[in-house]
Amino acid sequence: MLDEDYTNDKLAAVVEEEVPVSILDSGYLSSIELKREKIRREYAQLFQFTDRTREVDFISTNNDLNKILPSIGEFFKKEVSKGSMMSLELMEEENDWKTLFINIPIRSGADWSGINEIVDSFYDNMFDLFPTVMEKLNIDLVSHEF
Amino acid sequence: MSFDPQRFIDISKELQSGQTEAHYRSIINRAYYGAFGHIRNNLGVLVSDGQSAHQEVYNSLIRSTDRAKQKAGKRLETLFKRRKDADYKHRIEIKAHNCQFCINEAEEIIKLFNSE
Repeated sequence: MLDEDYTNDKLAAVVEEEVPVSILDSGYLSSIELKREKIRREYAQLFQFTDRTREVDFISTNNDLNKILPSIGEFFKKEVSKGSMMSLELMEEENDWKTLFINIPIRSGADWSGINEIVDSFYDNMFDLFPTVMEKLNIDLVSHEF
Repeated sequence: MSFDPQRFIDISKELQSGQTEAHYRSIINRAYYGAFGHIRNNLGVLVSDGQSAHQEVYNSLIRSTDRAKQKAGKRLETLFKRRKDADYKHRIEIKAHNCQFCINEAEEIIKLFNSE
């Protein structure tokens, strides 16, 4: 059973967003969990999350980042990871130093000079257009050699 | 004559003759501190109460009006993350090919920082 204080609007949103039945069945569906699930679904084709909630919560509390991250993900998926699944990892240090890293897998034999040019342009564009996002976003190129 | 932290990068390269994961982790650690130390000394960063020197250096770089220094800041932050993984995440495997990347990065970050 759902808690009584859930409004019809919230239930409608659940139906609209097609929240998995398992969550409904659990009998506990907070607005926070709904928001998390929405973000997980939005990013499912682009990123894996390193932790179940840390990265999702960071995204949900940083709207400027949330708005542009899907486009950034699409860009790196096409231009750099070549379809390999990327991951999001939140680095948390003391004094509220928090940065969301996009870990991008690079296959062996990749054209590193080309990749470095892409990354360099990415930094240029982001610092020009979205300086506040750049304070909380970074990328890590993860080489996979076998 | 004061010590030049870039010498830590030389030590990283010397450690490449070693073939154990302890060597690999140490290579990444020294490479980071080579770049970090060089930049910290040149910025003359004073650490505020409650802030770490790493954070102060990073903030100084990305809040710079110089684009090369901003980029150096982001790349140093990535190397900082790699260094933390190497030092503390003992359940993940650090492989030899990670090391050359980190040495190259440390040298590139210093070049970016020194460029005008």
